[in-house]
Amino acid sequence: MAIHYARGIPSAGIFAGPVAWLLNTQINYALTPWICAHQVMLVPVIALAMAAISLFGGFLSWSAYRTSSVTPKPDSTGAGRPHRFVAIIGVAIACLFSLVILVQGAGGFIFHGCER
Amino acid sequence: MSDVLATHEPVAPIGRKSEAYAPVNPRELRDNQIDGPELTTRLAKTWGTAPGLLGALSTVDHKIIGRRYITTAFMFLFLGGLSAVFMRLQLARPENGLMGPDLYNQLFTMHGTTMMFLFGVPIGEALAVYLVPLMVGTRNIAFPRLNAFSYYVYLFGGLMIWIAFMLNIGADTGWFSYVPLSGPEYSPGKRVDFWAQMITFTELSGLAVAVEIVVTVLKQRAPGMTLDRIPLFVWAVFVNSFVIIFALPAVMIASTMLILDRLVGTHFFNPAEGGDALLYQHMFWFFGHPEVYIIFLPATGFVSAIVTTFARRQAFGYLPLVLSLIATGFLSFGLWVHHMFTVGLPQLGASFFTASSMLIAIPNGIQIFCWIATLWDGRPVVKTPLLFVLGFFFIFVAGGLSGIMLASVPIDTQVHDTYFVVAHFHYVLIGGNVFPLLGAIYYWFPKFTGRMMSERLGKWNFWLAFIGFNMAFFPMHITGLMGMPRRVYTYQAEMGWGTLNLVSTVGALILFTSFVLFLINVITSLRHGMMAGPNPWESGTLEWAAASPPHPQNFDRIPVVTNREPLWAERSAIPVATGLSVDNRELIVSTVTEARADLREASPEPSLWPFIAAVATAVAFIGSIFTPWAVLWGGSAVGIALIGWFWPKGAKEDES
Repeated sequence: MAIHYARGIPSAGIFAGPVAWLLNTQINYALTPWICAHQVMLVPVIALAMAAISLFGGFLSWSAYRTSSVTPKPDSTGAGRPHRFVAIIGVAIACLFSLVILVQGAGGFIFHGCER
Repeated sequence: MSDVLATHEPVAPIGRKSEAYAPVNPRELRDNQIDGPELTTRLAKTWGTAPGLLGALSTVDHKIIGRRYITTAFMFLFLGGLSAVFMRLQLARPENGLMGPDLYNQLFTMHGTTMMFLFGVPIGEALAVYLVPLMVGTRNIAFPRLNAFSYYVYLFGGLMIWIAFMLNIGADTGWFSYVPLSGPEYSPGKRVDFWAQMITFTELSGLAVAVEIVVTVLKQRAPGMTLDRIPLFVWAVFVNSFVIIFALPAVMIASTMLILDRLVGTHFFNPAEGGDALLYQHMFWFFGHPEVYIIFLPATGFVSAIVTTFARRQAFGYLPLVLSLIATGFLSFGLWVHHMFTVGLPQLGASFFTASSMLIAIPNGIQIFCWIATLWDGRPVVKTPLLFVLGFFFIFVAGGLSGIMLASVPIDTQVHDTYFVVAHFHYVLIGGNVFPLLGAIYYWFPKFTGRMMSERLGKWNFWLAFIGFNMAFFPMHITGLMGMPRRVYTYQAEMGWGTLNLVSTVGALILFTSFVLFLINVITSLRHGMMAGPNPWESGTLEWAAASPPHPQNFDRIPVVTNREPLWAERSAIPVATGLSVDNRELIVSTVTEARADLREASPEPSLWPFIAAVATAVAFIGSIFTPWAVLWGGSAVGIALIGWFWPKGAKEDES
């Protein structure tokens, strides 16, 4: 595990972001009747946890980006280092999906779960 | 020239050598032993299709199958367009008596079904079948027999539902066939059954092609085409294929459950017996929303290819463009409930889908800005393909903006099932798919046929399409806001919708005229178009390194890729890999991320079995509309065909 922290996993953000978002959507959607019945503001809490998972994937991608060789740059015409390319896409996907998760979580501050 | 077997490092772990390093049969002629026209002729014979009907039905050449796919999809586009024209004529004035409600119901169902299932999904895959092997520098698509099978299944499914329509048993419950309207109680007869089986046909075909594209992109890329050198069109259809693989099973299962409810007496969607009608909507839209992106994603690939070529510079922001494709692919699966905002779901639950629906605008916006930046920083040459792309920017962005509005529950509730929604999705789908597609046909026509299309007719085509489209669909925003509901066959004069509907009808006729002009351009250019040469647009991607039209083997020697736009980087001569068999169908299998040459792999010979299997499948599917026992005897026929197909014959190469 420690080696993953040190070297990172290039594609971690690509998988962690969407999986966390999928879980966030499904768990919160399934919990809506329970939230209505018990009036517990659970949606933002779950969203925060899922955003953290997504960002952790992004962190692993970022670590992979930092530790892989510097040249050539992934967006240059002389590209050819797919690990750096995958890693930077992983960071961006993780950030985007964290944003989506947090915006979904904001719904929990507005609705009580019983509105139809 | 580099040698496949010598220049690339082994990728297999030490002690487990790749088959690529197996000794070569010294008696077998290899492509480094001959050159020039002799090599071209011999390879063309090896990879060619036999003449005659049997040869045509047995072919596994991705270009021939791709051409058939494209032609068939356009045939369905014209049929779908004609049904729209008839609907518009009926709605041109209040209380028009051109047709009655029954025919109108069939027409809007056939229009939606055809455009979504028989045109929208297949056209992206059709162009991918033709272009992806050329763009990644290989000789044929992966699983070429499955490719042939998928085409025949698609053709039979499309013909089945259109023949049913001509016999007055056309589906009439909308392209989504919601229960309970489509259930046994409210839709007796065979109309909905034909619709449901057509879904099975076309989705089976779509899934097969998606698998072929994924494998071709992952394992058959030319040496050197690392993940970050893959052309953006290929990225687009690659992501699209994954969306297809995960989305299409949902609607196949839904339509199968529907047909079971109708024919076998199950109660999946019957609330009176413990079923759930909303389950159908969830399953349908779990497919139905990604479907929008299945239609849009290949078009982003067309746009990227056209913009790069005509801006005369590499795509600005290759990385964010790929990021946008992947993000859109994932996000497309989390929006489906916005089609169901009015069914009474909890507002908190709906808000999650509002959030995702609004934020998918981020990756799509990134794409638009990258394309504009590419044009801004380039030296744009405004030929017909680029004209269609510019039209796409205008129309798609307008459709995207009304989409953001519809993601909001209160607005959606007000305009649900009105012409505002019709306007929105035609802006998104025609803007997002048809305009780039027409541009793509103008762009790749020289590659398909060896001849250029007329620029003069092309410009007329564009302006008629652009004006006609906006005239037809912009007024629908207003008729929708005035309260005109969708799927009504007529309306009363007092409603005040008459003038706007007349404008829409005139626009639709102009739009249809533009398509007739397009057809005339295609037919005349096929005969009299200027000869194109291999690379008439001076593009940078590999398909332009092949002859126009390409030889059966695509390339005499497999190119080695050193840049994202290999033809711009290697202007004098593109490096190649050699060592493949000349007399046997052989191609390079490469590694997933770095595209190092890994194996020499045999590619299947032509066979009649895919056609026979498709006929057996069609008989089983159509038979099961009339009797459930057809699944049993039809399944046996399909089984026999598959046994013939997969009977171990050994590769010709291994036997020699």
